[in-house]
Amino acid sequence: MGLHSAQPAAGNRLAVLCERGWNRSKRILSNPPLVLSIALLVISIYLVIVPLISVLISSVTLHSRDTLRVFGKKVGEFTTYYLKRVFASDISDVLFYEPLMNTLIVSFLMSVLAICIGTILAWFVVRTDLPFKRFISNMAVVPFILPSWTLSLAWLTIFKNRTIGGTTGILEYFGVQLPDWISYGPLPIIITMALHYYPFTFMLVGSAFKGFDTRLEEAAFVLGGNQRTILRRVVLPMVSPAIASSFILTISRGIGSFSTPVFLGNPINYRVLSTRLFASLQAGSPGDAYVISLVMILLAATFIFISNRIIGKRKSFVTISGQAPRAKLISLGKWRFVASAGILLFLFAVIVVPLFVLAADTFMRVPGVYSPSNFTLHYWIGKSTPGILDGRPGILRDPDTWKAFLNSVKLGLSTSVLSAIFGILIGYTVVNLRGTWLSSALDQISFLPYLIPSIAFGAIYLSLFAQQRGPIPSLYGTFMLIILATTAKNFPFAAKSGISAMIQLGHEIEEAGIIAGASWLTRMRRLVLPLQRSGLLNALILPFISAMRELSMVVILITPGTQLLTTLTFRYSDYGFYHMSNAVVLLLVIVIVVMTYIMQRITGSELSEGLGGN
Amino acid sequence: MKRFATLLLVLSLILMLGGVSFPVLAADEDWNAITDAAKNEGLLIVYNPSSRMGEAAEGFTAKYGIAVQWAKMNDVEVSDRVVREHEAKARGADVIVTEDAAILMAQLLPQGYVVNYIPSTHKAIIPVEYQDPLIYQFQPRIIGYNTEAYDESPIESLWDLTTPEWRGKVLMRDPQFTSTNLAWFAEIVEATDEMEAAYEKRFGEPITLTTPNAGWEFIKRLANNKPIMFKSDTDVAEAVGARGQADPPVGLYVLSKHRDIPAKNLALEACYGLEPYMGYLYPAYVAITANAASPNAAKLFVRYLLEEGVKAWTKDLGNFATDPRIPTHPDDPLGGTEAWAKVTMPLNAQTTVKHYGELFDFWMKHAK
Amino acid sequence: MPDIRLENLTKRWGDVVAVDNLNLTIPDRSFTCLLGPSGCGKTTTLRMIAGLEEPTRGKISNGDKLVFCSERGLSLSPDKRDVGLIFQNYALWPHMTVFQNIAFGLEMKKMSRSQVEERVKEAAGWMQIDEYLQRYPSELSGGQQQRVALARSLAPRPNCLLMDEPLSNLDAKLRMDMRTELKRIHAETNMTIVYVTHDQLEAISMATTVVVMKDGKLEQCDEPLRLYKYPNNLFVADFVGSPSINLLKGKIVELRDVWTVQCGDWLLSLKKAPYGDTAIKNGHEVVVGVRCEDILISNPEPPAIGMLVYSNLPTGSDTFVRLRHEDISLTAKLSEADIIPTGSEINASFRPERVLLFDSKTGERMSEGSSLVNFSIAP
Repeated sequence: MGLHSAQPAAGNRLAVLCERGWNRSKRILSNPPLVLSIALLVISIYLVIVPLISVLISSVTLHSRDTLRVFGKKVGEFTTYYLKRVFASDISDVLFYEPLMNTLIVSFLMSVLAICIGTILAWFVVRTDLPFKRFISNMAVVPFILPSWTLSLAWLTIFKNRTIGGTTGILEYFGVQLPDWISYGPLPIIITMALHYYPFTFMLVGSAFKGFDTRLEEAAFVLGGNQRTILRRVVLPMVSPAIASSFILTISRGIGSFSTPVFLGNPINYRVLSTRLFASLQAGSPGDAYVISLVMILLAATFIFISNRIIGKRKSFVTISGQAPRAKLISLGKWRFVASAGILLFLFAVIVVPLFVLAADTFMRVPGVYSPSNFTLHYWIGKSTPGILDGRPGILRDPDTWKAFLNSVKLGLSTSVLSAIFGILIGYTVVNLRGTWLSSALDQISFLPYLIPSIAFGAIYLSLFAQQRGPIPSLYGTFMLIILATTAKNFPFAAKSGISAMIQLGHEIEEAGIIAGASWLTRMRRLVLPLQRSGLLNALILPFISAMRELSMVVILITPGTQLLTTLTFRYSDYGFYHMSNAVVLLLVIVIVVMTYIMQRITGSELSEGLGGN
Repeated sequence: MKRFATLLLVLSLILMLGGVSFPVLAADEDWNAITDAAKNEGLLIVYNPSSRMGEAAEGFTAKYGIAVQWAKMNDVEVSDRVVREHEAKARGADVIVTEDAAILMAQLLPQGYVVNYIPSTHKAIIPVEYQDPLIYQFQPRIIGYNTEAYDESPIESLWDLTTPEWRGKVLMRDPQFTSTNLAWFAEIVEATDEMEAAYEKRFGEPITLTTPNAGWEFIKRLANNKPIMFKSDTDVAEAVGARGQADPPVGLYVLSKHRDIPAKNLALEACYGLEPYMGYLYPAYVAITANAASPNAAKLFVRYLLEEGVKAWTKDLGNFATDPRIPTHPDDPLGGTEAWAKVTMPLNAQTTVKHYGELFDFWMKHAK
Repeated sequence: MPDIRLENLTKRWGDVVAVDNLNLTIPDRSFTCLLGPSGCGKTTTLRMIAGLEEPTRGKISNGDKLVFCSERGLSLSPDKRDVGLIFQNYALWPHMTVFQNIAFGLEMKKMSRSQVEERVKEAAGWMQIDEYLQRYPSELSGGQQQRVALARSLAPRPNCLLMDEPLSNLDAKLRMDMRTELKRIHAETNMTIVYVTHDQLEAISMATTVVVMKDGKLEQCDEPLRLYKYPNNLFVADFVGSPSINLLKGKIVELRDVWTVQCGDWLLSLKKAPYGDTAIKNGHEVVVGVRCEDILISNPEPPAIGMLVYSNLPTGSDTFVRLRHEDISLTAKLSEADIIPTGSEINASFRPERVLLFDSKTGERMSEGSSLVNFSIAP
């Protein structure tokens, strides 16, 4: 009896459960942000997490070439061969420990130098009455806009000695015998990288200088401190968080940096992790390369972790008072023009001189001979002449250049559009679903590519997409692969700007639309997207520029049919065709400068964010 | 010495047979059909390590009207790409040229990434031992010196390269990225007797080994002697032969660079008489990819390469076509492949395969 | 009677309980204020009613219409709940003109062009913003933006208007104007208004029903004046009223017809409270609450007790006087702008029927209101 009476109740409960399940799933499916976030999650897992796992697997499975080295194992079988080779073998020193030490030394010293240059420049521009400030502050960020290896090529054009053969640099031509340590290796790498990366510090420390309350400085002044004491005891400690975060940013970039060491270190076999990784790939040892990738990722992650730990806590320093009163500028007195001249000279030396040297080089038959007879346009518009550069025509006549040019533009455009779309969607879902695990998962995953040095990222993509996996066809050799990799590498930037744009927008804007009964598409089309327009432009142009000058990641993925301007430069310099490679770099610089200029005109913003302006 | 004798024997056998009419081994191919099909296939893609391929490609396009996209890449790149393209079923190379016997024999051919193809027109002409896999030409890579600074070769033995006098003054392409240099080391490792004898001859005493044999010992000492790694043979030849040097180096480069001597005003000469060998003789293999998108054009191209294309190389000295009908360059100092095969070490694919992995690490370890 | 009914409504964010098992009925056509300190769950409750937030558990119904039910997995989308919502920051769409802002919701209801125009005009006229229809929100002052937000919510004529601290961004004067305006709207329409605020003065002066919340729980739901006069517990007593109620800690020393409570050396004799007295024993700790206007100074009738004037805070219309006696300190309100010199000694007493007694442990009010019988200094 009791059983009988229980039956209908159970049936009821079941019905209630069914109804609840049905209603719930109906609602989830009709909740676009939720569906969207799941789609985004799948995409970002596929483009970020799967590659990471794949590099892990690649570092412990046997690669096809190595059947020549590891006998008795099949391709794809588990092996600790690479781990042993990299970490604990006769050649570990060459393969890993030396490059690791070189990487750490070079990035550390480079960062210290970059911090010094950036901080000093920032102090002069923001805190003193330096003349020509605005011009200086705009010029100071230029080295960062240029491809990082512009300076390396310029260095070689000036300082290259005869050790490695081929054309020598200008100085050797004039009879100056240069030792190797000036021409190649750590010293030029540190200098040229510092000159490329100091704008980070300039911008970060500059805005810290600008943001902090000069009343603190004045208080110290009232209490009887002199300028120097104040600078040392008050000002520098106050901007120390900005300096620290510039340092972390710079050093973590330095660790992954590839192009400078490849141009300046390879000639004398001075290798850092990134170039060692590349060499291993070139020599047909991908297993070693993947193990090195893992180390590089760990290294970068460690730095980010440390920075989050240390700087995260002290960040509050800089924003001590929201509205800093009009800063009282330090008067340099009669020194102001001397300082200004010195700084302008420095900028001239790091921007104008290298570009001029590169440009001049492309017009000279023999480097360093400044006579009309030596002038030639061959490297630009010459017809194919047997015996000169393998009979290649001048770059403007060479269809390869234009193909590469178009590819670069194509890559820039598709990357920036995809990144912008991804950024907006990520921003939208992360902010919309804030507090849910989906939101934080998306947030974190999209940040991960930041930890992966570009060259390792390229290597990972190569290993992942070389074969067909499941329903996704192999993308090897396709332009799509290069676009995907570049876009995924851009995720952190895209997501960050998308999220902050959405936070700024606030959820109410959309909620007001929900209340009004607008469908999701209507809300996106009529309320959310129109308000993102200005941010969108920024989100488009920055990835465009960075895709245009990307080398370290694509160098691994490129095939003859998908050559870019950057990889063309690299190839030419690899063949020893420095004239051509310089000419292509100049072409690239022109494109980038023009794009940056357009961006600044359209958005009305400057990269230096008016550090020196009023 | 034994291996060398075998080679001589085989060579003479072929010379003998050359005059005799020889039955065509395989069924004749219908070249008209192949040519027509090739023209319909459109683009042909060729990967190879030499920039002279451009000339051959142009000649092919001019003759048949078939566009050729050719790319210059090193051996590792060629094989890597072929493997990836095959796995990816992507449109890639139809024809590859490689100098890396090890990879070709141990991986590309047995694992079916590329197939060996000999045009029916050449089956009876190319010596059989060059047919599997097909070799279209040989090149000697030799050690040379600066004739402005030295009247005669400043070195008499390979072992000189390991002496303090030549420390930091031996130029070569990096064996890590130049498979033929590594393959040469493999030959040296096998040529223990010759290396030992040369050592004794040079230094007047038997060698004391820190490694398994005199070949390994040589490689170790060479690596320890700070040789300078160059990117290209052109750069090596220029750096060795440039005039006005007080203390010029010696270098290992392809003989064909001697063609630039007048144009670049170089003072360059090969170290003839070097004990036991003055360099090595390496083959260039040509093969068709298993998934070639333009298989007929590929066949046609291989035939063209053997017939005409190879002249892009052989018109200058230092390149020897395997087709005996294509003559040796008149200025060739020795007069042909056979003579070069005596003074250099011809590379043997099996030897390379045997020592490849070990040598790579060995070199890396000692060359730091 | 389409009352809005919330049953066992709970909202959790991970471990944090924002709204805890809330049961509440919002009467039809009422002006109900959800009042409480920040973080008490009032905004979350409002958003759950609107449908912008999904409750973890519970039920919401609007009249006979079940709007949300966790058990059945049912949740109507906001536009089907017939509500309007005013956001704290107005959330006007900055890229649309005032006209477009108001028209948007009407367009979503697929109204004809002429109908939309008519309704926009009507709503704009109501809120007196006719002349700004072609302007963009950024070209309007804060008060005008608030009117646009109201017009936008009113135009679709929802049966319930939800407002989330709508006046908190306005200055004091504008806030007064808008309060009047809101009361007018409430009077002229048939709408139920649910209004979230942390400003008790705003709640008392506008609402027909005030709901006080704390830590996600309902503390009291009452008419505003009753809430002020008879707070259910110490939290409500303290939260409502400005300046806040005077609270004196003490304990019961005598339990007979008349309870005697000792605070410091004061003895207060109160007429016996009508409920909850069975468990109460001598020595029970209590809190006596007296509002400042219930402290009589100027003309205290006996029994009165001497206190010292500590400071004066004149506001213009009246003066708050701080009084001290040993450890006891009280704020009293003088209805006239009199200033009693600091340091002078005065006699003070409490309005007999307005003395509140709370259980100090539970915080609950112990009586409906007690009459002060005697007020003396302990021997």
